[in-house]
Amino acid sequence: MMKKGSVFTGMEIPLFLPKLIIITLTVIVVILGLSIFYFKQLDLSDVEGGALSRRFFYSEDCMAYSDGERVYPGIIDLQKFNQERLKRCYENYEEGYGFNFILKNSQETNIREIKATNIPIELCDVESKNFGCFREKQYILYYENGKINGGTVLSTVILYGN
Amino acid sequence: MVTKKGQESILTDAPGLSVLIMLLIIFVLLMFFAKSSSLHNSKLSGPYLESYNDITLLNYLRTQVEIDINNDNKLDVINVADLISLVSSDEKYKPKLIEVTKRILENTAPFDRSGWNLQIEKDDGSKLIEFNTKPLSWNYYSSNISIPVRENKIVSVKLDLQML
Repeated sequence: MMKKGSVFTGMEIPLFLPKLIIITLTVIVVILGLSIFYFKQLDLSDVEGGALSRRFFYSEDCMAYSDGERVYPGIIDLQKFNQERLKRCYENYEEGYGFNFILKNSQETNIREIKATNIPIELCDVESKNFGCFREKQYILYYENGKINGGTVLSTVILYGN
Repeated sequence: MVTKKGQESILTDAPGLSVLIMLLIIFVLLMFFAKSSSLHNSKLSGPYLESYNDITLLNYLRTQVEIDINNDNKLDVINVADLISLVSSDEKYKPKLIEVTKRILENTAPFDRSGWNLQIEKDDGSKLIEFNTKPLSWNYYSSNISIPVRENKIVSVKLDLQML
C-alpha cells in the first residue's frame, strides 16, 4: 500500500513513454536530415584530372619549355613532345590512369599526338562507360625551330577508378 | 488535451501530433531537395580552373603578332602585350588587336558550355577593348595582369572564365 503523498514513479514511465518516443523520433529525423549533407560525396575527378593535366604544361620534366635559366609554364617545347617524355612525365601514374595529348596549330591542324592508354578517346563520349574522363582544350605557345607559335592542346586524362 | 489527473498526453493531442509529423516530413523533403540541387556544386573544379585561366591569359599576352609598325611595308614581330601598349597610344592598331584577340579566345574553352570575357582598361577607367561572350554570374574565375605602357601609364588586362 502506498502512503499518502508519496510518488509512484513506476506509473510515470508509461505516461512519459509516448513523449519520449516522439522526442526520440524528432531527434533521429533531424540528425538524419543533417547527415545527408555531412556525408555527401564530392566529385573530385575534375580536380584530379585537372591537376594531372596541369603537370603536362607546368613541369620541366614534362613538356614545359626551359631556356636553361628558367621554365616557362604554358609554353611547350616541341622537342619534348614525344612518347618517351610522356612516359617519364607520368611515370608515377602508370596504373589507374591514361593520358592522351593532341597538339594542334592555330589552323586547327593536328601536329602531334602522344598517348599512354589503349582506350580510344572517342569512348569518353559514351555515357555507359566504367571509367572517368577529364578533357580540356588549352591555348598554348610552342617553340619550333626557334620560332614561337600559338596553338592548342587537347588533353584527355582517363581515370580508371571513377 | 488534459487527462483527469491533470497530466497532458501527447497521443491524445491529435492536431498537435499531426502538425509535428507534417513538420518532420517537410524537413526531410527539404533536406532531400536541397541535397539534389547541391549535387552539381559538389563537383570541385576551382583550383584547376584558376591556373588554367592564368596560363591562358599569359599565353595570350605572349602570342607573337606580325604587324607593320613603321609603315615601311615590312612586317614587324611583336607580342600581344606590346600591341596593347601600341593601341593605348594609337587607335589605328585596334582592329589588329581585336582580330588577334578573337582568333585566340574563340578557339579555346575548357568545356563546351564555358565562355570568356576580356576587358582591357586604361588606368583612367576608359576601356580599350571589351569582349563579353557570356554574361557573368556567380561561377567564374578571374585573372588580372597590369602592363606598363607609354607615359608611365598602366593598362590592366582582365580575363574571366565563365562556367555555366
